Amino acid sequence: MKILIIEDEPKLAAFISKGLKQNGYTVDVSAHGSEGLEMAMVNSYDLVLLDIMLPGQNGFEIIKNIKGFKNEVPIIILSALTDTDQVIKGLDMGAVDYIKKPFDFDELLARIRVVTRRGSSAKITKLKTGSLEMDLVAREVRRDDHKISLTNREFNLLELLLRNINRVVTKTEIAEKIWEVNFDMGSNVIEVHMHQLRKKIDGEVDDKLITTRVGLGYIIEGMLIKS
Amino acid sequence: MIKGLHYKSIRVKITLVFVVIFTVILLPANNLIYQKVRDTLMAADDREIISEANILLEETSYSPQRIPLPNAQRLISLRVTSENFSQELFTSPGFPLLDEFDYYLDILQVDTLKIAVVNRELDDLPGSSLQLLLARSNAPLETQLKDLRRYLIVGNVLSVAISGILALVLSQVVLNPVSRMAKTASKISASDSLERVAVPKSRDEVQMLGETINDMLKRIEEGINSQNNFFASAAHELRTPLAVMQTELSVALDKETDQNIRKVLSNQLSETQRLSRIIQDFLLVSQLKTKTLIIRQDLQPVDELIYRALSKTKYLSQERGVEIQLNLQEDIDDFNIYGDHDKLENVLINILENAYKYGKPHDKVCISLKSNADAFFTIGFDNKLVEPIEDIASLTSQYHKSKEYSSGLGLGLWICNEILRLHQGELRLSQKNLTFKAQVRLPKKTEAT
Repeated sequence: MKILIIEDEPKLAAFISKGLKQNGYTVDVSAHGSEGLEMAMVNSYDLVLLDIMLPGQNGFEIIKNIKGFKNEVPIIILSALTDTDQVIKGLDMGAVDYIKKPFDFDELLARIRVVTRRGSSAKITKLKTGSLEMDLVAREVRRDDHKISLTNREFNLLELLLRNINRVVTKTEIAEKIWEVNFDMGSNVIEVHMHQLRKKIDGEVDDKLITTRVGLGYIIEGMLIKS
Repeated sequence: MIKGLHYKSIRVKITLVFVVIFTVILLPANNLIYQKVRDTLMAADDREIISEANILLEETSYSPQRIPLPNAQRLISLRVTSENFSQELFTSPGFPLLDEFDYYLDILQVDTLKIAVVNRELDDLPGSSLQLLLARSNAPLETQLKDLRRYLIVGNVLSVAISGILALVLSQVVLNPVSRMAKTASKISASDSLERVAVPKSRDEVQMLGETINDMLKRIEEGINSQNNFFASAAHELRTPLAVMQTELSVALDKETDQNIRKVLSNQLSETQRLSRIIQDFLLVSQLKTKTLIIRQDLQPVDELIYRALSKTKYLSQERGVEIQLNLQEDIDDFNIYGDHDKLENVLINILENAYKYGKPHDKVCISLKSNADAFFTIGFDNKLVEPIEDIASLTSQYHKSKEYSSGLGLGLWICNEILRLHQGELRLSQKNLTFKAQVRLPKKTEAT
């Protein structure tokens, strides 16, 4: 996984680079806008981490040029500019994320994982069981060819159950993987979302996909086709 | 105006001074004038009755005896007196009885009668004299004096009242601009661009006062602006070095295996994170104060805000051993609101961090999300406290630092309250039997505001 950092603060660029290398990424660094743009165009990167205030060309110009050349490399903006307008401008121009300085390095890693997972999901783009079809790229769900509108969290919940097909997924596991929080036993948050998901997925068909295993968790049984 | 203090108006004070001065000076002066006028009137009256008596005496003769007829309403008594005897010649009916001593006076008063006593030597009876006493009613003079007294009293009362009213009106005219200035000044808050007080073109001390206040307001406004600009630029400039420190510490911590060094790095990292939050707070305060904080109006589910805030504060809930109980109202399909998810998330993070830090460790924080009939969503946070919080109402005031429950600068809950207010929502705090409750109310998505 190759990442380009375009950042004019040498110490920050060096530490991000060091941290990313420790986590197994290959990293190139540029401290100049025009040079960074050239590197992004010449080499093939999985991700660009881009500052906004740069010598040569500023970050917004770099995004404009990269997108102008039909280069689809995902860009995450790292900036001390935190005005909502700047964030909107960056995202509107095609950046996939905007991280405000100062940031937690673990959060940066997590956001990089989200973006690169999106890229690598090119390998498996669809999950299918019975009449249910899940498009992981378009983030669409169909049952009997009818499009079902799910929230992000419901989508992730369904994906977790499908990826663990024929295995009971416990509530603790769901809480950790989907909410990243351990809920107390008295909480009803997973039940409420599962109820909503069931209403949307199984509501109008007889063949119910999601089954509750009392005291254990939830399960989808069947044959999973990955494509 | 400070609550609870009763202010005595300068107008009332000036009026009271006028009334007191008029009363103290005018009443004795008028009394003195009355005495003088009364004495003068009485002396003139005395002279008149004596002169009338003398005329009558001139018309009187002893031998042959001739007794004059007095005017109407007059009584006379006529006597011949010498050292050895006195002989009464004539006395009008109703003339009062007198003591012997009275005959030696010029003027005397008996009941309502004034009596003048005049004498004339008798040429034909040497050593004897003719004595005439003329009496007439004193009532006309008394009536005149009584009227004079009445006029003076009415005049005094009227002049005190009129001078009081005039003082009140005049001081009102003079002090009205001052009172308008006080009203304007009381509305001025540090968060606004400071409104100037209205200055009357009266070319007097009031105009001078107004201009001085406006000069002072200008200087305060410049001070506030430079303070806010300092916050904003300092926050911006500090971000990059903080990012360097935070990244360096995180990267170093990532590969460090020595537990002692890890502990040091981890402490430094958490202090750097705290510093970042303080700087973020400063920036938010300056934006709130200058009303430059932009609130986006994105559609988003309110439960997602809770999940993200819980995930971002996981480091602290785990450190404090706090369990999270989260309950959502089951019959709601749509938890959507319009708002700025970034800022609302910060509000929830702030409340959660407070609950973890100042709540009982290894206990439970109960969070609930409900839909109210009044078109609001309520997010409730309940946790047990170690000790009760004093003065809970002031937790949301700026720079309040409760020893039990506050963020580093005492800004946290004030910022939360302000951000919620900008979303037409509110923050309610309460405690009962060592249970602390925070309630965040946010309007449902009826329309973007």
